[in-house]
Amino acid sequence: MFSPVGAVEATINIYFNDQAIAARPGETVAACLLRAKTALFRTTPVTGAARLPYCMIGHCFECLVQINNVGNRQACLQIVEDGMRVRAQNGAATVTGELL
Amino acid sequence: MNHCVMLAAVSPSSCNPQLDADVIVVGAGPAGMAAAIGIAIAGLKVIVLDMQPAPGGQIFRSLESNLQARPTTNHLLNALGPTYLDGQALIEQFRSTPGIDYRPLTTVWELRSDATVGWLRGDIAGYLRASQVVVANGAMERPMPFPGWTLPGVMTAGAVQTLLKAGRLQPDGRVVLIGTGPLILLLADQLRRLGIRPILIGRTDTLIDKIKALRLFKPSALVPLAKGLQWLAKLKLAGINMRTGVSDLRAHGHDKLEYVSLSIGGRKVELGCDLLVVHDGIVPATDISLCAGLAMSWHDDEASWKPRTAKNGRADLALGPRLSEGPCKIRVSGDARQIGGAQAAIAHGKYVADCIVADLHETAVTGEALLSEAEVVKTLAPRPFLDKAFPRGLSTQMLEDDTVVCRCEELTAGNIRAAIRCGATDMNHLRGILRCGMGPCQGRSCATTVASLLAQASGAAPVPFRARPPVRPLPMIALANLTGLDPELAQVISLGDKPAADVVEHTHE
Amino acid sequence: MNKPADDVLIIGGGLQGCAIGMFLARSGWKVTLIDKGVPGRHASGVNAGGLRLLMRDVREYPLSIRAMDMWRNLADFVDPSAAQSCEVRLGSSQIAVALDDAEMQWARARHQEMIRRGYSCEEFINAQELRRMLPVLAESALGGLICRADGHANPANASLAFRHAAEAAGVVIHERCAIKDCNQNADGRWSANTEAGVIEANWVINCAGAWGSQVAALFGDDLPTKVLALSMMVTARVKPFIEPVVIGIDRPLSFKQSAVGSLVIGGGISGKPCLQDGISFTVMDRMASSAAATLEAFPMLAGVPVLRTWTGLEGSTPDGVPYIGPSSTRKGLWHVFGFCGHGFQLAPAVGETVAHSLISGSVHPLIEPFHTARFASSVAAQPQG
Repeated sequence: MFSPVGAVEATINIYFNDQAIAARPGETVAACLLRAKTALFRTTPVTGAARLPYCMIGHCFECLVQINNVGNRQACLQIVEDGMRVRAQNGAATVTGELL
Repeated sequence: MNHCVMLAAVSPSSCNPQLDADVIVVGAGPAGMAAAIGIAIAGLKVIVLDMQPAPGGQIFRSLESNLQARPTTNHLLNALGPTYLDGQALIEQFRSTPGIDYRPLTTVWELRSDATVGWLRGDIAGYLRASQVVVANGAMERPMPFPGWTLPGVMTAGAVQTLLKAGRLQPDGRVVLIGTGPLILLLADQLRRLGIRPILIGRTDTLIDKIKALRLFKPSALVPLAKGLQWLAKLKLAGINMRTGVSDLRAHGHDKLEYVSLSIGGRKVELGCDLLVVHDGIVPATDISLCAGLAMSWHDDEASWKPRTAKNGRADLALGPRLSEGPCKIRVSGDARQIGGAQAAIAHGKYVADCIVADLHETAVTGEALLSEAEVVKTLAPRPFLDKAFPRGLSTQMLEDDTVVCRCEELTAGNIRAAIRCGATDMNHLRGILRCGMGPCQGRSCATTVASLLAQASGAAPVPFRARPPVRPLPMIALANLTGLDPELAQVISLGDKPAADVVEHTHE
Repeated sequence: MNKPADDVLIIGGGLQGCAIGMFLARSGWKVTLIDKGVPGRHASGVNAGGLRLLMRDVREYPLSIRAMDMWRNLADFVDPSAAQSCEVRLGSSQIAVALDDAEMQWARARHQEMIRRGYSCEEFINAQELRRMLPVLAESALGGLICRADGHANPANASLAFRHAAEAAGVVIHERCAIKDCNQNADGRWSANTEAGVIEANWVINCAGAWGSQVAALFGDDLPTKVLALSMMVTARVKPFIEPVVIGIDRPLSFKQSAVGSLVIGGGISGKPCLQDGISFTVMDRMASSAAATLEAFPMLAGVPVLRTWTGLEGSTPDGVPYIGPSSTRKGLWHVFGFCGHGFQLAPAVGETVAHSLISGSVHPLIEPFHTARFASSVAAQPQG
């Protein structure tokens, strides 16, 4: 669906569902995941439908993912950080152990 | 037990020690930057809050970073074109003007009419207070539900532009562009320069729209018109398949977009497709304005609300009681006020700054301000023609019962119509029984559609959902440590859930 | 000896008004109910839906026990499908957690007091039992009180169910019909001027909720209430992790997970009420303390976002329990309002006992503690009706 324009200069790594993905410092998590051809960011809590970003500017809330154990983060607004652990959010967010 | 909120030290403004600044500007897009520059140059203290990591809003998004990354980004910058590069001077001026307290990656989740702003950065939230607030939080894509619009692989034109600018990503595979408006033509031209050939560009607008619009044509519309015609000519030359007068758009697929169907001149067409890019114009983002209790007016042509403001951006409050007493200290500028594009936003931001400076210095409006006002008029002049030449299309498609209207809660037009038939007459009641507008987006994607459905049934003008803070998600930890307001205001008046342990005997026997 | 069937005007179509009307109509009374807006839109429809005995004022306990029985057998009172829509869940329990020594001490004292009075539904539990029931609770939780049979229901649907049941029983409801004033003739018959014209009845029952004091004043009765805008916050959906409703002892904590997974958090915080216009505002900075209390008990919720808040108008009395009883100054007039944010659970029993009182001619023992003259400064009140 999307491929890079020019060289990527992806010098750090994030993890999506435990898979390492090369990331460019300063880009959004959403862009990084789309470049990696991610098929879905989440499944909806109501019907389990697969969703990818729609608006990319923070208004549609379709791009919700879990980042470092915190759910409901908008991937289109979060900037990648080295070692960031991102997971697809399947249904409602999970609440686990220690956060932050 | 003391339930009072702990306070951090509040840094004083030069003007009033209880305030954090003279002016708070929400949004670092063209209008916000222009306003902040004007206010700071006049020696007033201004804080700018913006969600993005760098200034530029959506139109100039990531411009700084893309310029810095040359020559790697030369090809990208070439493709994005002069309208994008135009932002460089403004951003540089914004960065170099002393006195602007610029706070990126900061989300506004509350605005009160007394110029109190609730902000969030990471997991820290607080309040800031000023004499005036300029709301310049821009626009959003007009909601346009159609069958299959929630499928992975359906995105807005704005999304694709953002991916180009901030993601340095271009679409690949079979791309279809459907919709109307200058933005879709701009995007088509940018894609062409990147060597991307959509298999179809289907516009809902027609030649007849252009002819009807001619009577609104003003000389100032010549430049955008010429630009548009140039794009069209180049697209034609490149042999890209472009049609007008398309309708009945549907996206099909199981877990993702597989193909689209639509009508072109009455003929049904199906196209295998990997990315469907849709656009039906943009509308003011109203979340922050609604939270503050600003008076909003509905415009049928635009199928959206916008705040009621004077020319200088000063906003009216809606009738009725409000949270904070006193006059409204809010102005709205740029696309958040009315859609006008970057140049109009810059002009209006500057004009608002001039008026605020006159206000706070208690002087008459200067000659400078009159010039700014004239510039606003000039930059907005092409709009009536453009709006008439590219009327909204996808959002006028007849809504089928099983088309999703509320994306978050997956409610269809049929669900909403059924509730209306059962007697629901107001937006908040509908929201309460169906949950439309209760999801994470809090009605951003569905409010205009739900309001229109309700209005069709009742005949009254569409009204928005009742807006309460927070207008953006606020992490519990941030709320728990909320700081920054006067201790008296932060006082908890609590209704004790527990009765006294040492129960007093009440004799009733 | 029951009086012959009579006629009554009920002011206010929330849960209390509809429940009372339903019982009276079933006994053959002619019941007219007026509501200044749409019935059930205020406190009745937008509360947290708690079905709670736990930590009630002892004066409310007997009435609450009867009410709990009625919720348990709701299909006996409203039609079965309506009962179903109320989503009554009992047995999920309500738990009051003690997060420090003072609260623990209070919990012990309360438990002993309730046993002394003959009530055993509030169990005292230690840290171990508490953690067994709420594994995600903070380490600092010391123990608490639990009512295992407590639960919750759906307030909006319940308000509607009782309204429909009232109408099915013959209650005539006038919506968007405010009362302007009311006069009593020499025989004690009331004549009310309303937006739907003049309505006459031998009895008037003031079930006007947050507007109860205002309506009482129309009749010359001074029943003080403080109007609050009780606020709640709702988070994003979270996977189910907690069944009981959790409340605080000293801290402003009141917490449940809704059927869709969102967390609904209260705590008795008030926003800004605007009674005249029937609306209210959330004051976010006041909600900080209930968020803090929630995190003290459940630290792992730190990153869960609050998506929205709502507030509703409630009336609270000086002593935290409602007015339920005849007017001390006028005959043929009853006041039933001021439920301080916890009237939802009581409603079915309020309906039953008030109706019974009117029919039998004497105040039902379960509602005696709530007599309307208890704050009167003058002693000269003559009990009427």
